[in-house]
Amino acid sequence: MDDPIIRLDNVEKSFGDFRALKSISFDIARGEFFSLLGASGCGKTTLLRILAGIEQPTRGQLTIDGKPMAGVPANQRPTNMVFQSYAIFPHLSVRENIGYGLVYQKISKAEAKARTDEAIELVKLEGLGDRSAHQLSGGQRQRVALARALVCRPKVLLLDEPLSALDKKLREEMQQELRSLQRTVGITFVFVTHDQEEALTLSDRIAVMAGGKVLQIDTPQGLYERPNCLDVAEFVGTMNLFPAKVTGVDGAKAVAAGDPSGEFAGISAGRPAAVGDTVFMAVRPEKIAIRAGAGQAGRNQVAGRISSVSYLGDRSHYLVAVDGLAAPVAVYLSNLAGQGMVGTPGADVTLSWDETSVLVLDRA
Amino acid sequence: MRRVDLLVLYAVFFVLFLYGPMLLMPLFSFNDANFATFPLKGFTTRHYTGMSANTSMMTALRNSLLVGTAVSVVATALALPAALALTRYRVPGGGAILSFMMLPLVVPSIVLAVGLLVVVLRILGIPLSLWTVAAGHLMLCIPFGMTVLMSRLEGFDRSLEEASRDLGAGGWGTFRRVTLPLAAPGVISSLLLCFIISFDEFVISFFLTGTDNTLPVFLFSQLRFPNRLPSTLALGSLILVGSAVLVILAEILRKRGVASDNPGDI
Amino acid sequence: MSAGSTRTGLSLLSPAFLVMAATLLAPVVALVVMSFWSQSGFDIDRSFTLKNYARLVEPGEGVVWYGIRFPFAYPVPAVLMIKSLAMSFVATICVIGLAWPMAYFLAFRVIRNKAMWIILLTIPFWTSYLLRVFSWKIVLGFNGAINSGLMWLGMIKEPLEFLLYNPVAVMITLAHSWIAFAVLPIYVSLEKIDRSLLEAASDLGDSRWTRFRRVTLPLSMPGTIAATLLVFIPTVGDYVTPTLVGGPGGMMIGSLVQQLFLRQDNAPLGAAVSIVMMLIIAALVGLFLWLIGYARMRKRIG
Repeated sequence: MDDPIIRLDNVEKSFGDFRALKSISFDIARGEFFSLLGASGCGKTTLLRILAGIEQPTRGQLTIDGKPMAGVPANQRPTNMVFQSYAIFPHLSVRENIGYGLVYQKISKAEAKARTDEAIELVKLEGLGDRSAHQLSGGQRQRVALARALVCRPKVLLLDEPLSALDKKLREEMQQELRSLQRTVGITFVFVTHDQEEALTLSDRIAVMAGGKVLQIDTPQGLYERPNCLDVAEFVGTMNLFPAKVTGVDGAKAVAAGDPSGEFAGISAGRPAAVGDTVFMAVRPEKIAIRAGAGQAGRNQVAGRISSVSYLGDRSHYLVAVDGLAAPVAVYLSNLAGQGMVGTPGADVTLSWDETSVLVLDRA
Repeated sequence: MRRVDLLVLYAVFFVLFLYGPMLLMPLFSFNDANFATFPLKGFTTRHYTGMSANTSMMTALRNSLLVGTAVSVVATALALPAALALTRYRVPGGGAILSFMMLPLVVPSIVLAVGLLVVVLRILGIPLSLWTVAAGHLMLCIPFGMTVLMSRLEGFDRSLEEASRDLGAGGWGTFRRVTLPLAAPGVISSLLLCFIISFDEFVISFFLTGTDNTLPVFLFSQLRFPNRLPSTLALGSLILVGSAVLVILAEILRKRGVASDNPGDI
Repeated sequence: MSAGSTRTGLSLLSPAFLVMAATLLAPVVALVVMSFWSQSGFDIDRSFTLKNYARLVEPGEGVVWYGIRFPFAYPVPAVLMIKSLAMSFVATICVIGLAWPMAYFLAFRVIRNKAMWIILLTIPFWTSYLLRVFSWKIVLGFNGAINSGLMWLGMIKEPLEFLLYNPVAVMITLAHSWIAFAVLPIYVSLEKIDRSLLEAASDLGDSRWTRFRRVTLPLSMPGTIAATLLVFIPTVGDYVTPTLVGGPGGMMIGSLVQQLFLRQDNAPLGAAVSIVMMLIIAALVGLFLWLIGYARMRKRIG
């Protein structure tokens, strides 16, 4: 990447014997909405705190805006952070909170005031400037935290699960606002979340993390359609996995014999498969076609029996038991006009899918 | 329902037991008699009005105020950075150091007193004075100050200080603009409590004082003279009331401080 | 955290630590050193000797105290030590027994005005120890409130002399003076108990009493133990109470230390008595904690 805003080069972090981050290297582009996605304890917050300068990496190089950050403390970095708890100073008013960092910028009092007003307007807190933190709702506190960070005009805004404390409806509203805010101000956002839907909705690119490592960095679509390993496939969305042994390879395409039954063809997502490899053939639930009646098992086609049906309004979820598979196969079907239910639990069905929808994933 | 009533009854008796003996002091101090005996003879304030003429009492009072003020300020000034170090920084052996510093809370004060006496007289060879008393009080007060301040500092969200750093403030700026204002109720309550401890302390003062008495030492010397009982009662009552007011103030400040830590609806 | 912040932490901690080292550590070390010196006339002989410790256990004719024989040439310290331990023990048991229901009331029954109750119980904690002890002299004295009150009511003709200046008076006064210290730790440990634990216990079939015995009591143990030690340790060496309300019969080991230092001018022996007293207290506390399995309890309850 040319002239990235953030460059991580072999960054590692240990707390005593615990290796929180293992050899992290990637770039973040200017103006990007970049998410760090992973379960709790995967190292995403640690990485964010290293970007902020609150933690120091044990090894490796961090460059922000072309400048190496080793030895640069948090207060001298071109980054600002929105904390998970918001960290609104309880002894200061909204206005004083937002103006907190402007003291350290070389600007006049009048300009500081103007910028504070502008920030208050930006996050729609007009008229609440004199309130204290006690008198704010969760959503308002979140806006104060945003304004307080943005008013410093950072090159990178760091957000540590800023929406996790909000209820579902407010969270979805704030997601939209965050996205449009980011487009307005044009600043690079680095956003930490454990919520894959949130990450997919908001981000230009996402880094999926687990066990202190980055598993995959891609666009939301790329992550969903072409997960490069089992962990990513299972973390982002739902994935049906069929264990199989590779019998033939043609470039990226691989044919594999199902274990215990069926034959699959699909595209290798990670390194190309070799004949004899034990792999998983992975298919998303919405890529599977389902029809009533027991059909022949064939290439990319299996027979099974419905074990449960959940009606969700816009779509229905079927769980189909297939002989020899430990977990039932999930199938999502849109409830389009004029389309009835395929069957009730106990009914025989046939599942089939296109070979372009099948990914060949290595065993973890 | 009967269980609840019994417990309430117990609590009332408990408080009566706790306060009863102490309240006799102000009661008899207003009694128009020279003994602390029933029946009460009548109301008088004469035991109080004579106090200001008692120069040795006034000197002792002045000494106690002086030592108490100095000790509370110095103890709090020492306890605050120490509390910060133990709550905000990784200090090797911090737990052991803290346990050591809390020892005055459990070691019998007579041992502390004679130990200090040995150091002052035999090792340093300096004469006993209010300074030596103050040194002893400092040792008693620092652990209390640290307890109050550490619980205060642990009580608020660490990310407040991180946010301050993140927004551009350095170590000192963060302390001045965030840590200190938020710790203020703890600082004030530490000042008040240290003052009370020093003002009421007897054993260490008794061993370490030279010719200058503190108020409790003066009071103790008066207990031997039955004819000075009424004025002793009056003095004791005033000390009780004064300490009670300061304690209430300190506790209210501390409670208020804790309450304001969890604002909003998070 | 980096090495720099460790350095900052140490430099913030060191002023308070140095003051404590000078005013707490130095005196204890000085006492230990002093206990190996000896008094000769008005001077201190600074050559190393075990004389002071030997004197505490030197066999001799001894005395009998409450049926216990103390076969020492100088039995006073041993008798006073045992007596102090016994009196503190009784006072501590009374304190814990009386404080516990109060702490329970505070934690579980008081809903409104909790802060007020806590302040009410905290005030005696901070007010002058000397005055609290002195007030018992007013209550129990020959011309005290009880005697004059009973005579006034015509229930007795002569003042009761057995009220003051005896071990019972000392124990009552100790219990009263320290009871406020005991309520708060017990209260804190009770208050910390997650109320849903109690609901779970009831849900699983416990009656009120079995729930108290199986859940509340065990979970309150850390606070109860802390309270026990907070009262027992300082009262063993108390000096004010025996001096004011004990009389000759109510003397305790602290009184002896004071006499050896200030009146008999035998600081080395006084130092040895102080050291032995602290060692015995520490050993008893250690034994107590080991007997009740405190380490295991702390690991579980935290």
